[in-house]
Amino acid sequence: MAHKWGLVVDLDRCTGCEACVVACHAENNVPTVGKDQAAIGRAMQWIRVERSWEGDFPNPKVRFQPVLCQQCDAAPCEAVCPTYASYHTEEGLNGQAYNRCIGTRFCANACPYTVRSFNFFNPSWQKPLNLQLNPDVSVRSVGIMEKCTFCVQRIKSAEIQAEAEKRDLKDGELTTACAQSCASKALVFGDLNDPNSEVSRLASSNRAAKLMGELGTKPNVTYLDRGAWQDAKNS
Amino acid sequence: MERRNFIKISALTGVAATLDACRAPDKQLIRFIPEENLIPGIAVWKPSICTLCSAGCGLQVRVMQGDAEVERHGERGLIKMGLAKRLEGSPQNPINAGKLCARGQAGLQVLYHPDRITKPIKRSGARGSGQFQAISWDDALKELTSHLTALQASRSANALAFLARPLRGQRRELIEKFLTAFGAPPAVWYEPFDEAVLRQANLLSFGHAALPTLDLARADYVISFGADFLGTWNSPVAQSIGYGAMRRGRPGRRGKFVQVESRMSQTGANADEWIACKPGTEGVLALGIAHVILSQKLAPQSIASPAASRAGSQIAGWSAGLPEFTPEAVEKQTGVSAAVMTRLAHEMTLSGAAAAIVGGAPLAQTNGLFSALAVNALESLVDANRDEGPILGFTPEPPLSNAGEPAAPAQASFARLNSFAQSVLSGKAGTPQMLMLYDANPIFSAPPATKIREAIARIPTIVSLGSFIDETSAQADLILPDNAPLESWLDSVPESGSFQSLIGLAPPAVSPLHETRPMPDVLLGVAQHLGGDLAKALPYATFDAMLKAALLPLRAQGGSVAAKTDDDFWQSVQTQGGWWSAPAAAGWKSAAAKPAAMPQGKQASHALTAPEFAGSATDFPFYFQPYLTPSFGDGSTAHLPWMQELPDALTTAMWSSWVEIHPKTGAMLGIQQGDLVEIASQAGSLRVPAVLSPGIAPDLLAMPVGQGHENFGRFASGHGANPLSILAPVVEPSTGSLAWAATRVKLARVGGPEQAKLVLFAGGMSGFPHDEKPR
Amino acid sequence: MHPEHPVQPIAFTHTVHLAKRMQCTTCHVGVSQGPDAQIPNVTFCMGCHMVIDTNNPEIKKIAAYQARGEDIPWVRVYNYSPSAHVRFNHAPHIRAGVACSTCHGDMTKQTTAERKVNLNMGFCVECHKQKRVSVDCDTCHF
Repeated sequence: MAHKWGLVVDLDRCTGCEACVVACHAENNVPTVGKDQAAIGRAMQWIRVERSWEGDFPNPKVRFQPVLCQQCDAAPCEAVCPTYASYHTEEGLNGQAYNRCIGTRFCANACPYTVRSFNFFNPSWQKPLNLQLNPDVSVRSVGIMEKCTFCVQRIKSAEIQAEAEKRDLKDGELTTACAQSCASKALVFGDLNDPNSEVSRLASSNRAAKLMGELGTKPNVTYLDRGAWQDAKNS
Repeated sequence: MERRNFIKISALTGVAATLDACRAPDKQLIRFIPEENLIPGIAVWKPSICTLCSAGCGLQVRVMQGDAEVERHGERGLIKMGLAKRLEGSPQNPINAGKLCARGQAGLQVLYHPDRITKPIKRSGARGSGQFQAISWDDALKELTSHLTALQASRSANALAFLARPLRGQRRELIEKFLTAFGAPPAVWYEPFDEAVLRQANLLSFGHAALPTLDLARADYVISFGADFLGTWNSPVAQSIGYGAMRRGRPGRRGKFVQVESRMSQTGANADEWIACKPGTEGVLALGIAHVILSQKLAPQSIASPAASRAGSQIAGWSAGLPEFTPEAVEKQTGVSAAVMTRLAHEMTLSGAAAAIVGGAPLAQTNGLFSALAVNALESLVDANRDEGPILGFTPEPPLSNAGEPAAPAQASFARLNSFAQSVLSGKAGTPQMLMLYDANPIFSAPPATKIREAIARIPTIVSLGSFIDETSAQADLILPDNAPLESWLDSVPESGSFQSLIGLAPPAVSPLHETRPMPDVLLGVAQHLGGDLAKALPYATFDAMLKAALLPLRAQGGSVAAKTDDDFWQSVQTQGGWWSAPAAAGWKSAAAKPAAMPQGKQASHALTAPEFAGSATDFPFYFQPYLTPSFGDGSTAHLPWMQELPDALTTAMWSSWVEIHPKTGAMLGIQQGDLVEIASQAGSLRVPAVLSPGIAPDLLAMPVGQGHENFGRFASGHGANPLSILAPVVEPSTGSLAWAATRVKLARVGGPEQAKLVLFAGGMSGFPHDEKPR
Repeated sequence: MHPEHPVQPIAFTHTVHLAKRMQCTTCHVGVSQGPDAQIPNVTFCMGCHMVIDTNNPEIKKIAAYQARGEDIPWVRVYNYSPSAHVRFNHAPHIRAGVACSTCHGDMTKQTTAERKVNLNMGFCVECHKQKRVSVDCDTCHF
């Protein structure tokens, strides 16, 4: 059976600790850009933790919300790419074929979730920081758009391993770097086509919602609502 | 020409394109013979231990073969070696169960940091000028031993001082034995944010001079007084795991979480109810709640329990029902309404398993001990007398006589540092003539009033055994660089975070990249060289032999390693990343460490003392609260680029420091978001960008710790300001701990955003397009 | 780009080794387990040549490398340009029964390795199509 990869973000478990952000940088060779570039909005993150403030002292409230590529089934980024670099993969991911990308940045413009990062320069890892680079993932060069791949290298490697052992993938044997690091288990990754997977079970929760669901982008990332404030006993 | 190359060249970026470095190595370089046999492309996971905070999480390190450019015997070349590619939590470790925080994962950048000291260096310019020249290990060791021999010869062994970050385990044991056998005074263990106050309070209230371990997964109600337990306090990964389970791990049952603080922390941002309380009155609030419980007999069985009697006996007036702490009286002091207190008392006692914890700023006041004892008394009221055991307990100590734990309760590290500095500056005979430094940076992290900079400058010989140049080690005359933690034998004796007793242990995950040597091996070698008592006290050729000797007695204890022989045991401990006792059946019931007996004799109970502040409210109208961030801790990880570019959870600031100001205060003083402001205390002043935040009391200013380094490598130096530099040396009197939240300040606008240069992550993006409540 | 027939520091002869019935995987360890194939280092070569054919001048060169504490600076024959963003994994190809010679030419006829096959995307896709394997971009490009 074909896989359909999905991620659930439980906003009631998320503590805003950003372990996922560093995990993603390490796993996917996402560069740091330095203070000057960061100051003009060019810091690169495939997953970020948004926060929104409501109210005022003495009753301020904050919501944390990890935002990453929603891996939409009806993805605005794919439709606008003139070189088919942004495209829909066989397993339903929003692929980004770096070797096709010519850097028009149309996709970033089209993405309502602003989850795409552009390489304004060649990334720099001052030696020997380059030794930390993950050889399973390309290092993107100047002029290329990049974004969350659901750790496709981990997916491929797990699929190849399962094939070698002539078996199906088991739920939980494969996860993304962000979900792997998440201490409070706010992020859960898995196969939505497997009705018994943890991600399928969570995605059908009555707290489930899609980010900007009204846009009709059909994301494969599902958010679980926190529940009402000061509500100690709801399911 | 390839298309991408064309783009590269035409853009004339000039950026160091290390892009291809790992794949197309420089052909000019020779290749050294690999020392290890690894299969290319295949990742091996090796155990290690995180050293970036004191929690002691277990690691698994993803190691893959790669080409590294190294220097060996004066020649540069390439070598194929195991390279660390990723750090994850060790799945079987009882503390972090496969998880790891943001800072822990950045341990990789400690290993591969471009500013690491790669070989021994000796000062060649004026002290502190940053001019060093490389010397050989032989010469470096000769110089170190000659200094030590000279001290011995002149019968002034007591003039050797050792200044280090507080350590546990065999590294501590090694340093202590070294100093004792040498005849030197005990080491000065220093970190600015030590937990001496909490340990002292826990000893008095619970009989344990330790940080608590929380079984949050079972909690139905948690009230935290200032403890940033999901970010920086105690054992954040273990606590975050428990927190997730408390919220959504039990269908139909969701624990409530209340945070009391005056500046919203990352932890507080997750609370169901956030309660602002005047700085220094957190303990009073706890007693207000306790008053309601006692007077309304809300927890009749708990009130009479031995635990509550013990913790309660620390508070004056407890047995009389805390007559001074009626909700109305407490409302006047804390600013929290009496109705809220009464409601909390009811919720807490009706909600099943409840716990009250304290940490952070409340303890950093002059009345910190009182506040801690007050919260502990409340804790014993709401968290005692349950069949399944309490939420708050203490990790049992490993069954070893020499686990390398500090004798408890240790003297506060600020007090130790102060007396060290005063002793040097007194200039009397027998004051330190030689300083050995290891991983402590008091010139950055101690308030200038300690005069530690002046004291260190006065010491004739300074030898550092650390891996980096920072503000303190920049003063060294000689640096013998340590291996990075991932290149070292490591052990840990975690103080908390586990229901089982445990000792972490791991061999080096990767071979040394540079020509560095492990600090323990250097000390052991010096001990052998000097001979006599030293050689007898430390009869080990290398540190792993010492670790093995220390841990072998655990074999008889069973636990996580079953082995027929000592060698099997030693191998299994290394593979597993440590030893731990058999898991507890259910929570704390059987596992928790037994409390120490109440000291004999009459116990003085603690009466309310009001917090005192440095600076008058008229001259310095604002409270000032420095706070720790997950990225930087006390500032010792500010040199890691991943940490610099990690947006702050609440402000999104990166590569910067800032001060949080309430918008009303800002409006009053004409300060807008991003303006440059000056904060001044009695002790000094600093300039920093302003962030207007609704999550802070209007009479409080809060500032993250960690930035403002003047000399800590290319990624940390020159960003922001250091709030510790304007603290007055106020202490919590019973422990001598630095009361880092007890300095008052004034505030003024001195410039606009163009001078302040605040970098916000969200600032460069087009607003918050996602910002709608998910439906 | 690399030359098609790079000059190697040692005139290694695949012909001779394979004629002695050595397998590709004897030296190119890892090729059936994961992405990469090992290029033998000087210690590995000397494992046999400590005693075999020690008077051969090429083997003396190897011994000299070892004596100097240096490894043999083999020159890569096949590689992808980083801008191709290709992640090739040997193991599944071996398991699928693709012969080494399909991409590397017949090594029994080569002395030092030559690039006999032009490994461009057309070559890969052609084979993937024949064998009905995915030609999705993210099969190889990530």
